[in-house]
Amino acid sequence: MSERNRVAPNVRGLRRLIRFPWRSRTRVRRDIDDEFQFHLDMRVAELRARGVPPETAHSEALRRFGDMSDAREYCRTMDERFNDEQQRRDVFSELASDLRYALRQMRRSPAFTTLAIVTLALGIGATTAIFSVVNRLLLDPIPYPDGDRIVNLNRSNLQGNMYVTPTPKLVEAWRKGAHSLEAIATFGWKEAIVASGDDPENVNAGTLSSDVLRLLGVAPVVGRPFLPEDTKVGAPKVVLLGHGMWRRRFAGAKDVVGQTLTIDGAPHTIVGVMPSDFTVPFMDGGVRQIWLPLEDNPDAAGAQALAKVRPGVDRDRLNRELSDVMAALAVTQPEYKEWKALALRPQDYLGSGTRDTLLVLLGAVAMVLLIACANVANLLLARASTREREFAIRAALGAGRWRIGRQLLTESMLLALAGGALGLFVAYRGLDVIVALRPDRLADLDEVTLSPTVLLVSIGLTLLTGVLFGLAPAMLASAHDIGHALKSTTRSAAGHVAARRFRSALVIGEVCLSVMLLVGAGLLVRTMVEMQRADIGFDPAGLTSARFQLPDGRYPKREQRRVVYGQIMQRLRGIPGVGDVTWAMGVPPQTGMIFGDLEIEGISFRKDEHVSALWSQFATPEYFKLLRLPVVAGRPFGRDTVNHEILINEAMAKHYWPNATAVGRRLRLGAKEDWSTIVGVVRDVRVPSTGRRKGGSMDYQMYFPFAEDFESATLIIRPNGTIPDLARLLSREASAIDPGIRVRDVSTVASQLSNELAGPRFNMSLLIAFAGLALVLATVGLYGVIAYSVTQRTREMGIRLALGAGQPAVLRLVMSQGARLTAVGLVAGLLAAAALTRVMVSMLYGVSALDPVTFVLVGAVLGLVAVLASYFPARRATRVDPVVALRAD
Amino acid sequence: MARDPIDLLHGTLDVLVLKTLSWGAMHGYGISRLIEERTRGVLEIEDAALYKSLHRLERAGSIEAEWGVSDNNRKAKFYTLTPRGRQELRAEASTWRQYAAAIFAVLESV
Repeated sequence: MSERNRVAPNVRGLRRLIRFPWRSRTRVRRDIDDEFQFHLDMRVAELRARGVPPETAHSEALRRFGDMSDAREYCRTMDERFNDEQQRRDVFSELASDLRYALRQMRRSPAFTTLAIVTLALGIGATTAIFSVVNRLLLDPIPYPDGDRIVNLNRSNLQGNMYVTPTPKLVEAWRKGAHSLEAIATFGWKEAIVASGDDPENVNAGTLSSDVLRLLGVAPVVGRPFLPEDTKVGAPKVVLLGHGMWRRRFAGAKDVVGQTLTIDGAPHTIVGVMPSDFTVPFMDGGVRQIWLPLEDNPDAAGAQALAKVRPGVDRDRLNRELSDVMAALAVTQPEYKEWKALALRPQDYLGSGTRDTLLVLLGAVAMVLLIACANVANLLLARASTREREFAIRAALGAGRWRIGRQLLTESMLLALAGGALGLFVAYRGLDVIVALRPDRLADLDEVTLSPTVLLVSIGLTLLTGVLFGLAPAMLASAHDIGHALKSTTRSAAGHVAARRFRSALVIGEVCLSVMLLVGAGLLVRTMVEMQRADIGFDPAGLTSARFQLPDGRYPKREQRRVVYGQIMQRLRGIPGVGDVTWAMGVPPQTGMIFGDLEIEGISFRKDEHVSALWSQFATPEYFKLLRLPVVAGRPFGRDTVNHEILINEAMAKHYWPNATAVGRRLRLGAKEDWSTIVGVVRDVRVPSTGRRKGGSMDYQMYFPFAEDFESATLIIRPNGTIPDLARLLSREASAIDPGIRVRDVSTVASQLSNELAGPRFNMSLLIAFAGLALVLATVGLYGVIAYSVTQRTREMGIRLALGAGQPAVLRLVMSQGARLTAVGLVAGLLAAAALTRVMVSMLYGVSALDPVTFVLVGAVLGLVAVLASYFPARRATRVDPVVALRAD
Repeated sequence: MARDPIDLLHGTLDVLVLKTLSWGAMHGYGISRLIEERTRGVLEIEDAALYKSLHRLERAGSIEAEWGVSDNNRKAKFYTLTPRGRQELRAEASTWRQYAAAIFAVLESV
């Protein structure tokens, strides 16, 4: 057969290149028809050659073919399937070859690859970590079914600047009367002593009404939840163990139900164990070790109320309905007048300060991620221009523009995925750091994990970054002129204009973002400094405080309490080294509030001037001397309360008696109260806190004589000698008087004040970390651009030097390029920062959002770094040997 | 290779096609002529079945198809054996030989 000679040689590789990749459906059908037609024609020709007449030959050919339509159908099915399979195989093999190639590229330049992956990992990791915090605290704060319908119910004064928990009566009224509510439950928390044998342990206990768990949709992992009979007054004592306590004290034994645990001296029957991550929304302080029934006592002062709102009810409607119910209650019980309902979500509960902080941090970390992307894009661009000839050769070999672009995208996606994977690790470790740094009030952060939502967002972020930093280089590289690149034997003199402009824009953007972050971090540093430097009004040095708790119900009368507090004091004063001691309700920063409608004799308030809550302290006459808190006018009050003597602070005195003395004036908190006489004016105690406006009634401070009103009191002590273990000494002395007295929270006032700075310190640490990262990345980016342009312009530098340009001139030339980029970025960054720092106001103290010192310093630091980043490549440019540079081609 | 096990003829025909193509590239008509020639007209292949076999073998990757130009200057679809087809042919041929030998052994015994 001679046909075979006419076929092109079967070289598989070549055939693949020539072959139309895939055939269309119509094409498949036409090919089959053509093939069959050819066959029939040949057969007819053969028959005719043998002398068969034309019409017979044709029908004979058809007969011998057999069932043609069946064959056609069969072949079509086969071809289409073949086609589809081929298509799939080709896509996969191209992807596989792209990947192989990308991997080879990554291996070939390990330094570039490592730098890119680490940069991305830091960006993606930091973003993921902060996002998981934001997700936990703001987006999905209640990780229970329908958590978005769970609110915290309170009553607030009509001005809305203060709220308290509802009373059991009010909760009952809401339960019966508010149809917007699906369920309502109450809870609280307290400290308790768990003892087995002689190993007593202070624990945090949560108290729950019997319907809390049902409302949250949570069940104990072992045993049963609380039942309504458990919460009745005088019911047999029961306890639900926290998971940690169960593991620790009972080794996770399943038969723990029915055993007893001694809590506050009384045996409690264990009825169950709660899951390890169980917390109650709106409960301060996170996971609890034990859960006790919240006693169902209608006369109790109040408890936290948790409610699940019916779907579709908005908060305005809910607040209105709850207020209406309260108004109805006020008809018979006037104490509910002058109140309105206030439903809070966890986000509201956090306070706007924390919300702002989180959003600022999220914004900051997003900027870091953007800088990371810009940096990697920059690196890719620089590398793409050195790979120009490779692309040109591939294009000449038949790779389309799209194919080369896709190859580059595959490479950047691979980088992004590697960065993302490492980023998850960074996020994981980063969360540990964040939790370790967190201020006390963000206890919920301990529960933050890389949840499925967070992981999804992180993966999305990774893919997005891959496209973000990969797209521009891919487009610029694939747009290259093949002929030009192949012909030029060396790199073009100035690089491609578009790519160069793009890279400059990227660096400017990086500098701009870094400046913004640096300004933010700088403002927070200034805030910390200001807070530490702030004059708090008294001298905390050497002060220690401890809380003494009398045993429940053993000293019901004030006289009895006065005796026991007096005995403690007497014993302590007899011990050498103890020095001065006194009692108070608390010690700054832990002091109290007092509620009541302020009335001042001789002054009538306008409606908007009403004051219903003030900072208050109950103190002994010695308190002021001990704290070195000067009484600036008048005198301290006497020990007794019968004279109704009080002290106020300077801010309050100045506000109400701007031109006269406050001493001798009388005031009271509510029409039913007795008048009290101001006998002295005390310096302001100002514990610095961020985001609080100066002035207003929250700055007014009142001191009342310490009157042994409560079963707990704070001992303040300024030792004049060294006492090795003050906590133990205090416990021992207290036990000597009554073994039931418990001593807690022994700590220096200085450390308590420092705790107050935990929030700002947390913000500052994170923002400094982000700003530092941004600065490093931007510096690397700037350095990269300058260094690259120096290598591109080696020849030009050589010529300049050969023509007699001095080294300083070349140095100036290169450095001015860096300076231009930096200057543009710096100015843009400072302007943007000036516009944006407003959102940080609630995070600042003692410094304006437009603090000139910070702005100038940031400018100087960035300028310096930029000079260094361009100095080194510039110095290299001056050392170009003209002979070598000119001969390089 | 997807083969219909019930229809013995498919398999038989496939082997014959593979064998024929082992001599070189050929179009469908050429294959049909060659088989007739070799079997001296004993086996007349139905054309429809032949084409079904060709397209089946192509999908299985045993042969490859390509448009070329025939003796009389017409566009024709030529088939060639792939390495995989060659392997297939070897395996099938040996199976056939064993089969035929077994049948012979029975038929020739007294």
